[in-house]
Amino acid sequence: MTPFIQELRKQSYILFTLARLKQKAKVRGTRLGYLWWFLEPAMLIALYSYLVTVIFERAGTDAIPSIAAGVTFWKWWQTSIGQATKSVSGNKGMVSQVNIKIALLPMSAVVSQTYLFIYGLLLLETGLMIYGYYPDPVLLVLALLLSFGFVSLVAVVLSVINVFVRDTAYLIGFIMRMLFFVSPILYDRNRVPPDYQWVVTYNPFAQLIKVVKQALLGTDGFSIPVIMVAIVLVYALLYAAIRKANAIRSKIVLQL
Amino acid sequence: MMQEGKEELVLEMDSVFLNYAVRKTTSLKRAVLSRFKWRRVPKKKSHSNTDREFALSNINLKFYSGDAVGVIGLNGAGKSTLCKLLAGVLDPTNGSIDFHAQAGTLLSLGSFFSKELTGFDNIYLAAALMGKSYREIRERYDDIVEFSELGTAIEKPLETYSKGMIARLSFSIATSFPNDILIIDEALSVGDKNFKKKCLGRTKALVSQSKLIILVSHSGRDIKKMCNRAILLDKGEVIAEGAVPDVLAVYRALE
Repeated sequence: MTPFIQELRKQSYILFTLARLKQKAKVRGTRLGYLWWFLEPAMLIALYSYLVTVIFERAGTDAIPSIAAGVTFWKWWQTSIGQATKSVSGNKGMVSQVNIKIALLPMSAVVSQTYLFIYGLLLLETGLMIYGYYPDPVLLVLALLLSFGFVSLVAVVLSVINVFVRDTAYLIGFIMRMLFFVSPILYDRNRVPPDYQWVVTYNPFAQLIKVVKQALLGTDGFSIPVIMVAIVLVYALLYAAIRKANAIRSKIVLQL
Repeated sequence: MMQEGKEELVLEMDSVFLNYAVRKTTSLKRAVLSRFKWRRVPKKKSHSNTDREFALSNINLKFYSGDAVGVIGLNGAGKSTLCKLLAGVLDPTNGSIDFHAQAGTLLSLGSFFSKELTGFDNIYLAAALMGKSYREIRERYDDIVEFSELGTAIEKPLETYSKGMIARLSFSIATSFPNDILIIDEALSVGDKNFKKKCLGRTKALVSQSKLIILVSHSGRDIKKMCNRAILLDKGEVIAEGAVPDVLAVYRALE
């Protein structure tokens, strides 16, 4: 085995061990345990569907499936970014005692939330298929790849910034809540007035939601080559961010 | 304790300097309030051991296989920072550190264990972070539990453990997967007498396997028992190095 493959195996084992044990720690002591992996997204979908279709009476043909798809993915992105932001500053003992790659901490937070999301996605897909919506498998894989790469990129960058500017963790909670409401998750993009369309156009999460809905509900979206270019760009930036985070580990340890 | 004819260089520190972080953590509150604080409280020159530009200054040291080196010094002298450099956790600002062996495993009181997880899970977590595979961990698992004397408590979450139990578990894991260099930063100060004795035995065994052990302690007695060489740090500089009794004499004068 080449040293590169050995190192990759070692780092992957650390990454998945951290992610698995984080999830285990999270459900420890709860009565429903891993059942929360299904319950949490199901309850969120029910809540937002009630709000939009009953209270605001915005029931289009695709309303509930569209909300369900958007909320399930959003929950994944939001919790991943939220937990990853505090992952380096919150693990001072680990960072200052073990020579691990810094980027493993935010990445493990994302992978840990991805476990949870996979269960939510299975639940979502079952529901959508009952309603007659069948996913486009190629687009779904691309949407997952793009989402994972983009969220990981944001996670790595914010986790490092939060070491130097501790307000980042507080600010990001507010920003993510704001982005949830300005992204077309609970409503259709066409409902946004023309003067405010830029909010959607320049919001990367709104574009991700578009790809997700395209993959799961067959709505209009991007061509596959455009999505592929976005994936390549996101993973190139993620690679650069990981390298930078690992390169400044000494500064990070001294700052903690 | 040093093995005759076994003077193989394990690591060398050449003119090593380490700066403190240039900027302290920024928060909006601090950014707003600092101006007023500065006006109200004029900055005074301090003679504290920690009030200096360099955490470590001009460190030139050589470590050999089979050495057990005691590091002593007053609080804030730079002992823990030196350990982090030797563990490869920090890089020097200036100068160089040449490792002729694997970077060290650092065992310190501020454990990186996850308190919500059981001792069992923490063994897998800590060993994974040390770069061990699942198979290697499984092979050593029974030894780790037996040496730590935790018994059935290994299935309980770490938040129920005493400091001594955590120290036993840390020592047991770190010495079950020995790297070429083991750095013990005051981690044995909370263990009981019997466990300390057991640790001493295992440490001696590691030294006899030509491993380098670095022990940071305030206890001259522990250093005398376990080490063949000592280093005295003060204000980030090495002020004495050599035979344990000689260095301890300088340390006592400093206290």
